[in-house]
Amino acid sequence: MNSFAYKIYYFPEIGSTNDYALRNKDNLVFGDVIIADKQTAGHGRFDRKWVSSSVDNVYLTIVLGDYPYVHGISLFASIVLARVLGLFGIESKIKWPNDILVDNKKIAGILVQTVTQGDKSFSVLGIGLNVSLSNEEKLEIGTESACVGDYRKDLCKKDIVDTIIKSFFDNIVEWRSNGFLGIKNEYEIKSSLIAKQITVKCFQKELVGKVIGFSNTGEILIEENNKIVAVNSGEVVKVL
Amino acid sequence: MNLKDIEKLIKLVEDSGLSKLSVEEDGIKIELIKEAQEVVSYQPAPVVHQVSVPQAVAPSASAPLVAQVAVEPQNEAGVEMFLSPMVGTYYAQPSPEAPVFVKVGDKVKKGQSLCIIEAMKLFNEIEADYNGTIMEILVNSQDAVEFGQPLFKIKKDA
Repeated sequence: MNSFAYKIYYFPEIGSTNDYALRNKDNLVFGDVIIADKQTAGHGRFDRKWVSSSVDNVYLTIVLGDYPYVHGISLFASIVLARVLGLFGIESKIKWPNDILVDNKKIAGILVQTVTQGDKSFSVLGIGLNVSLSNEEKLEIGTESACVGDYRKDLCKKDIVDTIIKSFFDNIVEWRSNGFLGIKNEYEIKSSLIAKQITVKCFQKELVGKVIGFSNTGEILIEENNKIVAVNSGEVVKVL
Repeated sequence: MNLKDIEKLIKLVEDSGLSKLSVEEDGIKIELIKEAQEVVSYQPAPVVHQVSVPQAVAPSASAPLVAQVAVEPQNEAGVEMFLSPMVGTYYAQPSPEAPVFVKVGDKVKKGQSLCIIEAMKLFNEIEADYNGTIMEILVNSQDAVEFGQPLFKIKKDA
């Protein structure tokens, strides 16, 4: 039973599901989902290529439209993904802000993109999840990668996609009411960085310190020289 | 530089085919820009003085100079502060290798991307919501910006 009816746009092959949704924003609304078997121009932040030649992986975009509660929503989506993997018996960790790791290897990425013009905004949330990767494909990706198939070979992609979408919409009401505070404990337990010494690159400088937790809105809290810094933007470049 | 000198400069720009003239002397910078409405501004920072020379009036040495003193730069005719809609990191270009979205002097159209602001991996592409000209870019790429912080000075098209 679906608690929320959503419209799915399916493509055997597409440039990128996020780009499609942004280009067609006038015809899409909150809850629409774009799914592709293959992405020819998949990308992560700053147009970094997301290798997506395989037809066995999940490439989907959830249209958020003018949904206002988007600050930190990528953290919510990472919790949803971690829960879904958990349902399938795969234990994962979250590398702030929203990379999903299994055995310290990246299995999924999330990219939220918004276009703002005046007081109007349109947001999309893209999810890429590795379901099946050959060793060659893993090498091509560069970063250490994992896929669902490494742990469960019996799952079909459709079941995984359906579970992700259902779980996202089942939980978004909770996100709307409580925001990051509602998932903070779970996020801290799932965090791959908690209590670790890390280096974050942000604002052209590097911050080195120990992760002591997360703020009520999802910023990572780093203790550097006895002072706590909340970081809302940056990339974890080193973990000790 | 005194008022007489400035008057001479204004006359010089008016009579010439120049659309813009910048002069810097003793720490005072004067920038004369000839535009459709013939607004000529004289700018010793931080207070902005505006000297209007209505073109309709036959220009002569005795043409009356209308002087305005504006403390708030926002009050410059048609110039708007373009504010950040969110807290985050400001990016001037879509990716490190790509050219910047806009430069000073660029004409921008409604719907044209001006920058990206990112927080918690939400990448917000900020578009112009009116046509105009970028007069000033007030932040550098990868600066931390606050909600409501001025990012650009844009002269709105009339």
